[in-house]
Amino acid sequence: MNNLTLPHIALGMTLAMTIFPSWAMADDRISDKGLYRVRWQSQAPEVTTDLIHDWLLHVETVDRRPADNLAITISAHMPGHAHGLPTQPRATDYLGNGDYRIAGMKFQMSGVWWVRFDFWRKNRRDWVIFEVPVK
Amino acid sequence: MSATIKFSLADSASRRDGTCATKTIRNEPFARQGEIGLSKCVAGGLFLILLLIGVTAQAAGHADWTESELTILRSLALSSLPPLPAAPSNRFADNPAAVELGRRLFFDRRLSSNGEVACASCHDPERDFQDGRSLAKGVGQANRRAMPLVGMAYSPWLFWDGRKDSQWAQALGPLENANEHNLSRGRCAKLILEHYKPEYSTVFGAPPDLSGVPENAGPLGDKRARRAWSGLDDTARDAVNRVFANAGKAIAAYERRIVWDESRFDAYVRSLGEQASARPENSLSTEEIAGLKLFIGKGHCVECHRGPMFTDLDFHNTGVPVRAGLPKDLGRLAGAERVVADEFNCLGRYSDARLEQCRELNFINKDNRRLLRAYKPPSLRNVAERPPYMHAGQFASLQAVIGHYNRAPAAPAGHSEIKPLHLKAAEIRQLKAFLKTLSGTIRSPAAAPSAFQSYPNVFDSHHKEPVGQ
Ligand SMILES: [Cu+2]
Repeated sequence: MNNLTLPHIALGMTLAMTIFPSWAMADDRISDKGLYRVRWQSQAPEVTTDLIHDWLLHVETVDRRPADNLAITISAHMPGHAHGLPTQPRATDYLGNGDYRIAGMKFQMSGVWWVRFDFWRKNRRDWVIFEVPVK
Repeated sequence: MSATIKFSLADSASRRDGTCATKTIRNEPFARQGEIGLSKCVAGGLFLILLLIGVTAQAAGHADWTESELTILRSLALSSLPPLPAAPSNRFADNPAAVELGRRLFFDRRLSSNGEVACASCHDPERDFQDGRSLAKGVGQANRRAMPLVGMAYSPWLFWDGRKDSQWAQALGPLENANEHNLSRGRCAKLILEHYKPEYSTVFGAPPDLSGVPENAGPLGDKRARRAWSGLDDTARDAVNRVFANAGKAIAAYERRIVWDESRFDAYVRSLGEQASARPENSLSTEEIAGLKLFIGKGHCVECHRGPMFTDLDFHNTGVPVRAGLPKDLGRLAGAERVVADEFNCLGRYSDARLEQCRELNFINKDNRRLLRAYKPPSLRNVAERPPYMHAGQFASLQAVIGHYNRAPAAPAGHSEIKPLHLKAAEIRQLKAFLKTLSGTIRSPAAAPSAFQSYPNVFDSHHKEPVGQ
């Protein structure tokens, strides 16, 4: 295992994990009902002792226009494991151009996670699930 | 949720079910060694033979850890533990005078209704800062097992159910719990100023005048105490709360320096990085190494007991049985409610943290049925030294604990996260042997103070130097 993938040390270390650099940004995914094209990007953790960090979620319509005014909820779990995230992340800011700040992301176990975003707009709901390997 | 998932990871999804397929995956290093064409289902006997082959190789000094196993081993070693994290809600956390005051408060039995209970009564330095009892015993009997305090500076949540979010807020709980120190908040604040006025002033500045506060006044005490408390004006209540919170901050400044020293396991991992010629021959026995292999493999222990503290510091329902005679215990489900409502939490007026430094609390996961009867996995460091186990001492021995995880019974409430492991008796022995390698000495600041000299079992040869001062 090379240095790049050695778990970074921070709060409790037990929680320490680094998303593989190659996975730090996922390819676009089309949401379940085909309303949105979505991608996420993990922000580098701040230099603090904990590992709660932000994601940037980019949402556009399938015809490539920024999707604004979305209500977004976040959930995640590990397939085959009966637990979710230790935190409850929230979409805290709309940054314009279809970009939403997702704050409060934190994983407590390495392995494959499924991170799900639900989108609401005018009573229409759609969702997308990303597979995220956490090292 | 599963209905909405558009892709399937059969391997991950089935990896905890203990099927034979799982075993072939887990035994990859062994299979590679001999290039044995394993069929999908391996008989238990063959598994054991392969295990013995692996063990023999290790005994000859050739560690056969794969690169990914080595990464896990290094992540578990004490050398992976970062320096003490900051404590933003406690600006006195690294103040040497606060450490000393906290140490004295920690051992002071006068801080109890009967003059017999100190923090150290249930968190005895000679017993790794716990008491060896199923249920802690203060003035009365508590509903939970006393947790070892070691390394808790690294934990975002305190207590089995995480109902406190800092060490200083945690320290306040037992002081006004009727079964523990059994003090009213007013009495506690007055006692502290009565016995430690100069020391208090040195750390926190001039203390408030509490002469107008009745002896028995507090928000959690008996009816009389609560009535007296609500009779106080805001200024008086705030003055009491301030002294009370500061006492917690001093105790926390001491407690956060209670840390582990290297165990035999840590020495073993360190030796793996050295030249074969410099490697100490038998730092772990073949049985212990086999147990370690199970710990990070087939036993799935490392999923929750991970990192150098051997805990993920989160909350898990592992189907631990109810202990008869105790009130209904909802675990983290109730703990999350309580920490959000706690006036001494990170966001409260007695916290020194800024909003953005309270992200754990700000993004707390609550209102979630998965939290029902979920409890924080304790560190496994020194675990062999402190039976009984679990939040109410439900299991008397490591054997019983491993047996529980091996059977994985249904949870009394909520859903257990664990699945049967199908470990054989020999494997349980190996795991147990490995867990014993996690014992090491505990370090804490200085020796016990004179105020506590009459308390038995406090002085211990292995508590020597102060840490980080
Ligand atoms: Cu998991």
